Amino acid sequence: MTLGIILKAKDETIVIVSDKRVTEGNIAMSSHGDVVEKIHKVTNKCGLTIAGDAGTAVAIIDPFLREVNLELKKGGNSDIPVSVAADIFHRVAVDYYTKYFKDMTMPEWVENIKANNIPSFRILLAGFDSDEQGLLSKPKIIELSSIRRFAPSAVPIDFAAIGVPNIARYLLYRFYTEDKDETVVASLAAFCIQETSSQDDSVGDQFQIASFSKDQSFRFYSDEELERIKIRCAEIKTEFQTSLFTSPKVKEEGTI
Amino acid sequence: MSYKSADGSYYVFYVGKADKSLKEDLVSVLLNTSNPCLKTHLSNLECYFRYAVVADKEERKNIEKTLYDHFGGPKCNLEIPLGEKVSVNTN
Repeated sequence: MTLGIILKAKDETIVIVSDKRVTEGNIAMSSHGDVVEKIHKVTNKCGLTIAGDAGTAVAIIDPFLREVNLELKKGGNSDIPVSVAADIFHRVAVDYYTKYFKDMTMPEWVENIKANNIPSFRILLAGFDSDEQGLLSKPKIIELSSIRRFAPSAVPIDFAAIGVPNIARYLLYRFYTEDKDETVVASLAAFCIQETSSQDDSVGDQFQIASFSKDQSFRFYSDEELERIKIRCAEIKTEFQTSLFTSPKVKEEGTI
Repeated sequence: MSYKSADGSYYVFYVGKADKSLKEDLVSVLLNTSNPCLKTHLSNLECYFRYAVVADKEERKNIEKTLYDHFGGPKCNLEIPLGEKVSVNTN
């Protein structure tokens, strides 16, 4: 399993964070070297993260990116709306499954996914939709899951988590606000990954982070930036732990 | 004592005193402290300390109180130290 998180930050910035562990089902396969890239750049204003059967996901992401590039060339644009990217992913993924696992009715499809007869994974895709003038508008997160036959599903809130999301969802519902700086939001997401990893071996404590906005192209955080985020995670953990200790209280003198 | 933050600054989390010089074994004393806040900081963060040898007991007490107030009541000082404000070089 894995933990992938996408969040919106201040100034319509999108932050993508994921662990880097390889697992076979729930069994950790790479605890001594968490090196798997689970975040993928789609365009300069669009990215995705995966959870589940990574081999199948990557086998679909490659032709998906080729299709996106064709779409960009066809339109003469440098970006496409995230909803269009989601439709392309849906088409490419269903084609792949149909090619290798035969054409299935929806009940057959769901049954086969649940029975692990065919590979299962989901992605979170984030980017911007376009307005009437074709300009990039609000940031948007879309989830596509094999269990739903990759039908795009818009995330109605400002963050989403896939893989092993329970601890992350608790922390995000408690402490996330989208008006925070990118660094604050990225640190909270990284903290979610480290805390989940501390309780679940199938999620690694090493992570990668990418971000983009209307003004800033998709980029991965450098090693130096990741080190700063790790220090911030240690500070958050320390704040949580020490908040439980008794601290000095000063009694007010006299009467109010 | 202070820790290095992600923003590059150093933040003070404890001010203390000892009745005799702990120069040689200060680190082992700190690592074995019963103060849970200190333990947590030392375990989670990159920590540093600065010290001065002050022979006079009353002066040590006053300096501790002055530094405690100067640093806004560091969070790992679980008791407010007693003493009077004195002139201390905090740099």
